[in-house]
Amino acid sequence: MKKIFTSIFRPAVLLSLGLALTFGCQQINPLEGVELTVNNNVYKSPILIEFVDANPNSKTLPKDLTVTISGPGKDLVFTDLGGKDFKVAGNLLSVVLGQNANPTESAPVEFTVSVKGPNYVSTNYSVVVTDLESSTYRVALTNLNALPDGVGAVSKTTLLAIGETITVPATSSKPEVAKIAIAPGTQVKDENGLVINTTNVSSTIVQYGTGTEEAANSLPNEGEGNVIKYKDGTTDFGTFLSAGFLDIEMTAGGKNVKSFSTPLDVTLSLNPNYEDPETEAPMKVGDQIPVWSYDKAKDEWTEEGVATIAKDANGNLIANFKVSHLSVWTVAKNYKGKTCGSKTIKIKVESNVSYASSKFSAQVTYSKSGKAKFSKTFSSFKVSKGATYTIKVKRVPSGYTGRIVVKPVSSSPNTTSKGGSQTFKACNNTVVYVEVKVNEAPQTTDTESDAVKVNLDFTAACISKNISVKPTVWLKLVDDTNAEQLVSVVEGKAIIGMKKGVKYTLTATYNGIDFAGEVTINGDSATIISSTGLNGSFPIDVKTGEVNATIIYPLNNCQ
Amino acid sequence: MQQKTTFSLFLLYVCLISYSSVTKAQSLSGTSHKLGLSLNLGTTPGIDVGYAISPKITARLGYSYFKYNTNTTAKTSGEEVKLGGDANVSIASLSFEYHPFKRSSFKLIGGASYFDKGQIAFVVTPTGTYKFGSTTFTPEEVGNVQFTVDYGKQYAPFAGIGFGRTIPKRRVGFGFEVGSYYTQTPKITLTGDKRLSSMSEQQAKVQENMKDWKYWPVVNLRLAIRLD
Repeated sequence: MKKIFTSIFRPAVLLSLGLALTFGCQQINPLEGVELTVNNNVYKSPILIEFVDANPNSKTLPKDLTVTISGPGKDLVFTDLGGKDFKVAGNLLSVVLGQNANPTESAPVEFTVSVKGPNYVSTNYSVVVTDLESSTYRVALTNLNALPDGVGAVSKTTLLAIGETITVPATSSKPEVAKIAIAPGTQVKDENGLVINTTNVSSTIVQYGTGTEEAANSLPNEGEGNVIKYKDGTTDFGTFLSAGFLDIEMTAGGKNVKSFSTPLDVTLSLNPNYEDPETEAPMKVGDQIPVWSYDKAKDEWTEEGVATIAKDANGNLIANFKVSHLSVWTVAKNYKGKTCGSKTIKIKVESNVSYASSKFSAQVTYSKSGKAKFSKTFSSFKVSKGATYTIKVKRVPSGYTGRIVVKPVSSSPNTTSKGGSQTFKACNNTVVYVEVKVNEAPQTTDTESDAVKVNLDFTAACISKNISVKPTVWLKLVDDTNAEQLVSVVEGKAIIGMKKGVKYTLTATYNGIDFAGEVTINGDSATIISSTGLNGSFPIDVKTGEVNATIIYPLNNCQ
Repeated sequence: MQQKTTFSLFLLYVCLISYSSVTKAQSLSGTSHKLGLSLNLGTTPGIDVGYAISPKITARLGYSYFKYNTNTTAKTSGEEVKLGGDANVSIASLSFEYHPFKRSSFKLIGGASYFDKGQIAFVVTPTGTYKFGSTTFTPEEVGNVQFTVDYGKQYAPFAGIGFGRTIPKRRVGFGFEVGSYYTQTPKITLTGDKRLSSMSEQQAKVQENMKDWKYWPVVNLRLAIRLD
C-alpha cells in the first residue's frame, strides 16, 4: 500500500502542487476589478435648470426650492431616472425628455416649471425644447432679502377696519412708485370665496420696474405669455412689454387671501423712459394701456381692463386700476407683432484658448438704428476653441439686429470685451460665430493659458447590486473665484478645462440629489476630497499632459 | 520578476518530481522499437507521432485541434448570466521526450509549437431585468458582453513532464503529461452592445490583468500505440 502511495499518489500530489505554484504566480482572474457597466441613458434632451438669485451681487444661492411641472409637454418630462418626483438639488433641477419625445423646431416640447422657496418670490419659467441636445436654463428668482436692481418690495400688516395705502417707494434703480390702497372695512376672502374672519391682513408686495435687465429677467417666464385670455374670450400667446408689474401676496388668519369685498386701488407710476411698444413713442396722458392678471398656477394671463394714463401731483405719469383678486398684476401692451418670441442662437466659438475654465459671459444685445432695445447676459460662457452653445432668448424684438459680446466676468467696471460676433437678424434661428481673443500673459485675471484638458469619466455605482451605470448627469464646477462651469456629462463622458493649483468644488446633480467633493490638481495627480459622496482621481497623463479623471458616486435606485 | 519566480518554481517542481517519483515501468527498457503514435485527451487534444532517436530520447511530431461550444448559466458578481463559450485551438508541434531513468517511464519534454489558432471567446448575457429608478431594462434591452482571448498565430516553446512513453514497450501504453507553452501575451477584446456598450472601456483593465497569461497549461492523458 505504501509503495503504491509513493509511486503514484506522491508524484500526483507534487504535480498538483507544482501546477498550483506555477499558475498561482499569474493573475488568474482576468476579470478582476471589472464591473458590469450599464448605460441607462434612454432619455433625451438633458435639461438643467439653474435657479439663481436675480441679484447678481447676492452671495447666496436659492435653496429649499420646490417645483412643479405643467404645460402641454409635461407628460414627456421626467427625472433623470424616469420618475415624476421632481426635486431641486441645491439650486439645480435636472430633467430629461422621455423616450417618446422627438422635439423639433416645428414641433417643440414645451413645459412650464413653477418654483417657490422661502424668501423667494414664486415664479414660472417656460422651457421650449427643440432638439435632442443638452441645454441649460437660468431662472432668476427674486430674493426678498436681497432685491435685484429695479425691484422694490414692502411687507406690511394692515388693520382692515382702518385700511391703509401701502407704498413701494422709488429707488435709484427703480424710479417707479406703486401705491396699493386697502379701503377701510374691506373684507378679505379665501380661495373658495369665503370671508376670512380676521381683523388684519399681512401683505408682501413686490414691484418690478421697467428700467433694468435684472427686473425684466425676474418676471414670470421673463415676460412671455404662453396663454393670454382676452376680454372677448379669445386666447393667444405673446410677449408683454410691461409698464409696471406687481406681485401681491396677502395672508390673513393663516389663509391665503384671494379676493376682496372691495377691490384694491392700485396706482403705478411709469418709468419716464417707457415707450408705447406700438408707436415706440413716449406714453402720454390719455393713452390707454391694458391691465392684466396672471394666474401662476395655470400659467395664464387674463385681460382685466384698461388703465388710462394720467399725471399725479408731482407730474409723473401714472396708471390706475382696480385689483379684485390676488395674483400678479401688470399694465402692459401685448408685444405680439413686435416680437418674434423665443429664438434659438447656436454659438460657435473661435478662440486662441484650447481648454478654458469659465470666467466669461456672453451678452446678446438687440438694437435698431444704433439704439439698444434690450440685452440678456449668459454667464458661464467658456471660450474654448470649438466650443458650441445653444442659447435661447425670449422677447426677441422684430426688426432688430443682435450682436454677441464676450467679456470676462469681473467686478471691475473697466472690464473690456474679449471678442464678439458680427450682427445677425434677431428673428432668425441662426448660427453665430463668436471670435474670442484672450490674453495669454500671466498675472492677468482672465488668462486661460494654464488650463488643462480634463477628460471626465463618470460612473454611478449601484449600492444594492454589483453593477455600475454610465450616467447622463450634470456637473457643476465652481473655482475659488466663484467662477462656475456647468457641464453636461453624456453617458459618463465630458471634456472640460481646469486649472492647476486651483481648488474646485464639484457637484454632480442626478435625480434630485447632489454629490459633491473638492479637488485641486497639483503635481501628477489629485484626489477628490469627498463631502457628499463624490469620489475619484485626477491623474495627469505625462505624455499628453491631459488629465484623465475618473469620478464615481453611489446610486441607490438599482434593483 | 514574477516571470522569474514562476520559472524558478517550475524548475524546482521538476527536480522534486525527478527525484521522488520512481514508478513501476509500464514497459520494458532496452527494446529497439522506433515508431509510435499517441492520442492525447486533455487541454490540447490531438495526435503525436513519435520516433525513437535513442533509447532515452524520442522525437515527436504532433497536431492538436480543439473546438468546443458551450451554453450554460453562471453567476457573476451575484448576477445570473447566460454564458456562451467557444474555444478554437489549432497547434502543430515538434517536441522531444527524454526518459532519464531506466526503470521509470518518467520523462522530461521540451519542444516548440506553432499556434495556428488559439482563441477562446465568451458571450455573457444577463438573464434578469435591471431597474434604475423608474426605468426597467429587460435582458433583451440590456444586451450582452463579448470577451475574446486570442493568442493569434505564433511560435511558442513548450516544457513539461510526464509518465509513459510515446513508443511503448508493449503494443499499447498509457501516459500522462503536464506542462506549459510559453506564449506571447494574448490579445484581449472586451465589447458590449446595447446598454452594455461601455464595457469596452474596461478592455484595458482586462488586458492588464492578463499580461502574465503567457503560460498555456497542458494536461493530457495519452494512449500510446507502438507501430513497429
